[in-house]
Amino acid sequence: MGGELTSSQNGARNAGFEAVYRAERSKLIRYLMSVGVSQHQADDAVQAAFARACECWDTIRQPRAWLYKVALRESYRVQVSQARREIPAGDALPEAAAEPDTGYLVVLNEEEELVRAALAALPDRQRQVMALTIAGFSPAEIAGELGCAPAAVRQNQVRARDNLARQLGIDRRRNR
Amino acid sequence: MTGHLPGNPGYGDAELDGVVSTAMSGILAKLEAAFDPAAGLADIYARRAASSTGSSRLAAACDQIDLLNDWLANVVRSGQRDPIGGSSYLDLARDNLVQLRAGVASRTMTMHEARQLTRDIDDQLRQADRILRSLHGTTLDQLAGGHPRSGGTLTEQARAVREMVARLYEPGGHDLAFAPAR
Repeated sequence: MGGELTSSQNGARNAGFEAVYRAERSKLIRYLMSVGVSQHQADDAVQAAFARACECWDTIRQPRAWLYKVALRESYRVQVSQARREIPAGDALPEAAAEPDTGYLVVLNEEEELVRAALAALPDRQRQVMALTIAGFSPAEIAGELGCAPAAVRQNQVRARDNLARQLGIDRRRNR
Repeated sequence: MTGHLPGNPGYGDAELDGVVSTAMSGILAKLEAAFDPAAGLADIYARRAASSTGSSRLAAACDQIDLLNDWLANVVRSGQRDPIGGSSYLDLARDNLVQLRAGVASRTMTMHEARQLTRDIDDQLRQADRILRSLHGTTLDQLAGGHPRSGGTLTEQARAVREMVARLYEPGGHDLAFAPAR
């Protein structure tokens, strides 16, 4: 019985989990959108990540970092799962191409869409670094997350900023 | 996100920071405005419940595979005392059952692979049955007799394996899409 939670411990556990959900859910969706995941897939992946977190909430020591990592992995799973539903295994290819994701949770304005698309178009590592930077992680935290040195994170930040400025048509030389 | 984006502090490129910050804050504000926490939490708890159901299905499928494998092992052992034709097909079926169980239990087997394995197992049991009929004038079910943990025939238990494994791949099953290692 020693491993079971009392009802008050359960209540505190649920309250903690739900507070993190309320605080982080939208930020996680924005993070996945900024690495190029569609809104609906991002929403699905974030819900799945929180469902997994809920199962093992007591064992997660750094919930925020854990959620960002698992949500990204869940987004890969959601994309694979969707592709598997669209293409029957072992059978002929579907007659028509899969329909694009046309549903929206929210409608972005032109500037928001431009920035989101510019972020999504960055090379992989720059995109990951920028998405985590925007999410508020420090270079040291990003380095831990991506398994590289903080110096490499800063270098990717510089390159990503150069690329973003170019894509967004911002002439940074005049600012130097 | 607010303020200056780290990464190039010497440039002071406020325009880039401003454009990115405004856009990302705008997206976040819209997502927050559309957010229904109660509905979202209800969805999470429903997913958890569905996941538990899926795990139960998986456990039941693995138990059924174990039962059939155990039963076939008894038949093969009896053949070692009184050699029977077709026992090599039973060995092949057992190998495939072990492979099937490992694949579904680890959630790494695709639906196509699982279907192929269950087809192979059915085919191998049919071949064993055909040889038993032609060489010994008996059927696989007659030779297998009863099993202490099963009420049906061996053929019925093999069909149950096929159906239970197929159900794992239905929506709400145990979600056998490739799960990235954590």
